[in-house]
Amino acid sequence: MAYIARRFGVSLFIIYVVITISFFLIRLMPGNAVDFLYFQLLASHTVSPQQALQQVQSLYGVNMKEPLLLQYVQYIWNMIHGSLGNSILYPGTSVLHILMNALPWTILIVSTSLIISFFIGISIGTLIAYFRKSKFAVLVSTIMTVLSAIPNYIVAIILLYLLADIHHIFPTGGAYSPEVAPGWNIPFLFSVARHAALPVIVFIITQVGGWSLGMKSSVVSALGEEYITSAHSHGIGSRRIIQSYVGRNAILPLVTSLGLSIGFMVGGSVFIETLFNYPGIGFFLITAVNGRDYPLMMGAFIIVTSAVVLANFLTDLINQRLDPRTMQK
Amino acid sequence: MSLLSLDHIRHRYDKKSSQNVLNNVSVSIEQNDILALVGESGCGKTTLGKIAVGLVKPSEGVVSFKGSDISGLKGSGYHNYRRGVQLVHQDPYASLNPTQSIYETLSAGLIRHKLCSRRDRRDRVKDFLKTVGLDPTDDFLHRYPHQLSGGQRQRVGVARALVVQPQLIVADEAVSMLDVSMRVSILDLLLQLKEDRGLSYLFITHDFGVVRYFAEGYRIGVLYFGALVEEGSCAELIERPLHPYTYTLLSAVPIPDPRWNRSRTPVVLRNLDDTAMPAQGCPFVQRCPFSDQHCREETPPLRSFDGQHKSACFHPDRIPSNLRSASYAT
Repeated sequence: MAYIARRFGVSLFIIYVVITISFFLIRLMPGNAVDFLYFQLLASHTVSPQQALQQVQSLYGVNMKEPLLLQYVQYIWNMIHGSLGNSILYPGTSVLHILMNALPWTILIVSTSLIISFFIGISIGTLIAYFRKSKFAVLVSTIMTVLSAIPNYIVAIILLYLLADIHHIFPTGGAYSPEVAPGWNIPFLFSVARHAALPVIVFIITQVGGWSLGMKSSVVSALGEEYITSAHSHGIGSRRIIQSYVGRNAILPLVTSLGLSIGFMVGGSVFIETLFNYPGIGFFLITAVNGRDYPLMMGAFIIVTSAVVLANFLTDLINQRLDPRTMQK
Repeated sequence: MSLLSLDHIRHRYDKKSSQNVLNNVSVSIEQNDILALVGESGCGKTTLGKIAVGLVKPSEGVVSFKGSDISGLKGSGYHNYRRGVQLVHQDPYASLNPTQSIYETLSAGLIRHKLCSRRDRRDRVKDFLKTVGLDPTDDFLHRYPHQLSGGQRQRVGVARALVVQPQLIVADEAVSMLDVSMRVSILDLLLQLKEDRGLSYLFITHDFGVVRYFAEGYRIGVLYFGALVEEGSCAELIERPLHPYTYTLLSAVPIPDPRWNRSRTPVVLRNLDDTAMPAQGCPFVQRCPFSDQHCREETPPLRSFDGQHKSACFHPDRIPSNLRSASYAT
């Protein structure tokens, strides 16, 4: 327990460090965003310098005439109290509100596709490792290599064109149809599933190759271990050996990469969410970058970083359960 | 009827290759018997061990367990063979499943062969730990391999082979990865188990010192490039080798006496790559200091000299008899 607490503390610290770095980087850039906005407001001649200053201050939640260090303390202070400032592109809406609405959508497509592609991938990987000398396994391996090499936005464009544009099987974008009322009702959930289907399929197609190839090499090396030979000589059934001797050991390195993928997919969903016009974190990150909505950008950065760090933390915990060698007393 | 006999075993891993890993090897092991197989790396010792355990199917030849061919065994007959022959591996760091506790590792065989009731399982595992000289505390049962020392792991490896109550244990270089200080204690443990349980061993090694200690009073077989070149009782084979290969192996055993050691002429063999195996004649011919035209033209068969002592050499009389000195080694 002490270990978990310590590990959690370290995670929080890492997030804090990344926030700090992002904060200062944005402000140290030549023509920084705060000045940019301030001078933009001044140039419009509709506001006095005081008003402009106030406006910027209210947008960022910081007073820019104060020293940088004080601004920083204020930003952190606001953050601890749950405020990330207001968005510029969506006036009157807090960054936190936008991100909290976007996060569930990203989590929905990222987790669904990760879980499905992971399980399909390790199953295929185990099979092609076990029958690695058969022609079929060689063919499947080749297909997986090709799949893992295609970038996801290419697959997304192809599927969008084929399944949404030509055949209208799936909608071209959005998280749900405007005709249904959001809530826990069947039409809404069905609509959500239909809209999430294409992004999820794209992720599965592009991820499954990597998982299966990773699992294949992991299984092949586990198969050569002497304890597998021993299990065979004890007469333990092949099925049991695959599951609890080979699989159990082979999956360890993949669980680590699964954890890392969770984090990186939240950030990496940018292309997919933009192409499918899917209102997740990635979509708003791109919108923020294009529109120079720095508070929103900062918020999205924090979410992405937190996702990576927390996923790492969870992976550590899971690995501890799975691998006795990393267990802490 | 032998406990396990391997008859005219030939094996090749690659069907296209003409090179056999094992070439017409026949050995047999009786109840409460020891056969030590000696040979250099790559000579097919491990393959022979795997064939004996039934994990590798020989390309040609018959393996019989208590008189019946194992390739035809089904049902309870196969079960008995599967239980009857177990392995002890070379590397105690690789031979235990890192994700299973000692208890899980040892109970798997008990569960598989329904050797005891669920209630007794724990006590049985503890009994086996005691047998191999480990401390059977609850704490120990729940340890994982990485928490044990090399010697402890090897003892767990022996216990794992024992739990299914085998009659034959194939010990493949079982002590070569251990500290010299641990070796004798593991060898003694194996010998003690033989006395207590009537076990037999197929003991595979490259170390004549170990063989001398372990197979005293039993037989040694010498493998060279997949062929059994000499077989005989431990004392005879070491005192008076009848194959030049055995002779050169023995002459390489260091003697802990500088006067003896200096008086010997060490036999240094040319290194040989696998492809340089002669197509006909004695497999050892290119490295043999005593070979002649006859050896190049014809493969010497394994023939009996006095009683049990067999050698596959045309000229065993050419081997110097100065090896008394070599037997000085332990």
